Amino acid sequence: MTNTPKVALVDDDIIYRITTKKLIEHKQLANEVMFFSDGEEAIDFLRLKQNTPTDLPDIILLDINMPVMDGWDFLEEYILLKPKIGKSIMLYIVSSSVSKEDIIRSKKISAVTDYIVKPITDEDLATLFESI
Amino acid sequence: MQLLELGSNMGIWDWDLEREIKWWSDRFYALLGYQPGEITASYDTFMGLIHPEDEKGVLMAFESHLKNNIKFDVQLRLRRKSGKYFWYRCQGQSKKNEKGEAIRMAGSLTDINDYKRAEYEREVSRKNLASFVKHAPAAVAMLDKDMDYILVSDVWLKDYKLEGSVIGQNHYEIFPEIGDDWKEQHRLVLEEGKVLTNNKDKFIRADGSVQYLQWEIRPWYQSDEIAGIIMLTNVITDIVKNEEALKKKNKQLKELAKKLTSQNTQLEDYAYITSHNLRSPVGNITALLNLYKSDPTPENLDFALTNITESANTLNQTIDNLSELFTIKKEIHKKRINLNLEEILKQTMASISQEIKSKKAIIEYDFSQATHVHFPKAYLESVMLNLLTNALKYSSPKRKPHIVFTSKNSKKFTTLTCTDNGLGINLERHGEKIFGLNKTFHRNPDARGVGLFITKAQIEAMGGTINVESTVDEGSTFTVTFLNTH
Repeated sequence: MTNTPKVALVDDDIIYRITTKKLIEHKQLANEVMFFSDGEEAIDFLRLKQNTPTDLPDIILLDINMPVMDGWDFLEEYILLKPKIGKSIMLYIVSSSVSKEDIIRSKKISAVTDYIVKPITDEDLATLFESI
Repeated sequence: MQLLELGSNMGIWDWDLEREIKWWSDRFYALLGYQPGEITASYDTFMGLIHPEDEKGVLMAFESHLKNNIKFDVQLRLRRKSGKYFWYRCQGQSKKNEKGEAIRMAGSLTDINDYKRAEYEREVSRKNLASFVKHAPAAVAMLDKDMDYILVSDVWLKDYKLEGSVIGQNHYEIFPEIGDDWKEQHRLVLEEGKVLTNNKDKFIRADGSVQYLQWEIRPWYQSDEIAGIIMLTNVITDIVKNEEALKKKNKQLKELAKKLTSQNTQLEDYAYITSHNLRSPVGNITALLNLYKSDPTPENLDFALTNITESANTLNQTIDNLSELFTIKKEIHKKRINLNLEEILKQTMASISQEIKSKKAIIEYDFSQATHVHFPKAYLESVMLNLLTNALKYSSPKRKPHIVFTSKNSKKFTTLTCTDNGLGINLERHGEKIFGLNKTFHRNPDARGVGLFITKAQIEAMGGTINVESTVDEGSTFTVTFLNTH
């Protein structure tokens, strides 16, 4: 694995994105943080770069409630795309939802590594990046 | 005379009226249980044997025979030697002299006791049957081949609201409303001996009222021949009406359950979004504080303060929206008043004139088909505002916004439509969610997705509906129906 991992933040909340980015950079956990404000933007990027693994993220932090294409719809498309991608990507759901249904639903999807309830702490982030 | 008796069951009597001599044959004595000559054959003896109740009748018959030459033929009870009365038939013929006075009379006596008993039993059984039918706890009628009534139960008279007796009257004269279909069924019974039943038949009476019947009709026989028809009916109007009422109630309950399910879904959505919308800014505030704690640079302080302020604003906004929704849920019985659509639209346009100007939007309306709706004023203002701001917010950058309002009236509803030429919504993808709370389908910084949810809640709380038709990149048409309540 690369020593300078890339992380993709898929979330419509700009405050979350910038705050998380600042935290990651401060802890020097990754050297590149990509932003996508909804599922459609993210899936379009993954499709475009599926054959150039070096451009792809090592970790995706995915929100559930987003406009245009929400986290669940993104996952449906992502599962179809995953086998074609020449890279293993860790995907975490990071959501403000504490709904049991959302958590149970995410556990049933093998492409989802874990479910994290916002706000994500620096300890959470450190653990995520250790697992790469 | 004795010869005449042989082989027959008759006793012979002979009476010489002039000489007052009476003669009875041996058989005559035997019929009364006596030996020949055991009692004196005389007028007085005979009169003494007659049952007291029959005496008068016999005397009258004698008199009318002698005076008016009416045939003497009576049925009477005579006391036998045993002391018991038996029924007899007594016939006679008188002989007259030249002056026309009866001088002699002779005749016969026959035992008709068995016949009388059978007749009596028939009478008793006829009376029993009549009484049985009359008091039967069901609507029963017995008719002859011509459909004339023979017997009928009291319940029949009551069920069909018939006054007085119907015996002897014709069924079709009593019920002129009976149609050819029933007449044909009666014919099948009377001519072909069929037994017919029906578990639920509609009977429209002459006065227009409707009865539901359960019936059975069958023939009755006399000496193996069909002699008429027996009808047994059960008026089940109340049962059928109850059934219908029950079906209606059931339907209402199903509709209510549907409504409750939809309200429940709304509430679930509501709870979910509430949680999301409250947690997001709070999460951000926490994250911003964390960031500053772990990296306390002046730059991060500035960043944190700015964004904590914004998160607090978002929280406020969310709480305002929520309280607005609570108000709708609480005020289902909000007062309806008659509102002029044109006036309300003009007020709404004035309140957002800046936005309309900056978008260079053209707004047209035609409320000539329905000028007014009966609706709470605050709700109509809110519905109009949401329709208008929604159309402006999602206008296409490729063309000037063109928004058209029209109205229509039907018996039950007044319909308001709002058509725009904006971005449109992909309904196949978002169709079910469009009126959900905080569902936005565009990357628009203003899109908070609360408007349509509130609009829907306000309209549905007042018994109306809202629907959308849309084509991506062509525009959308929102259709609102308001329940007419007067």
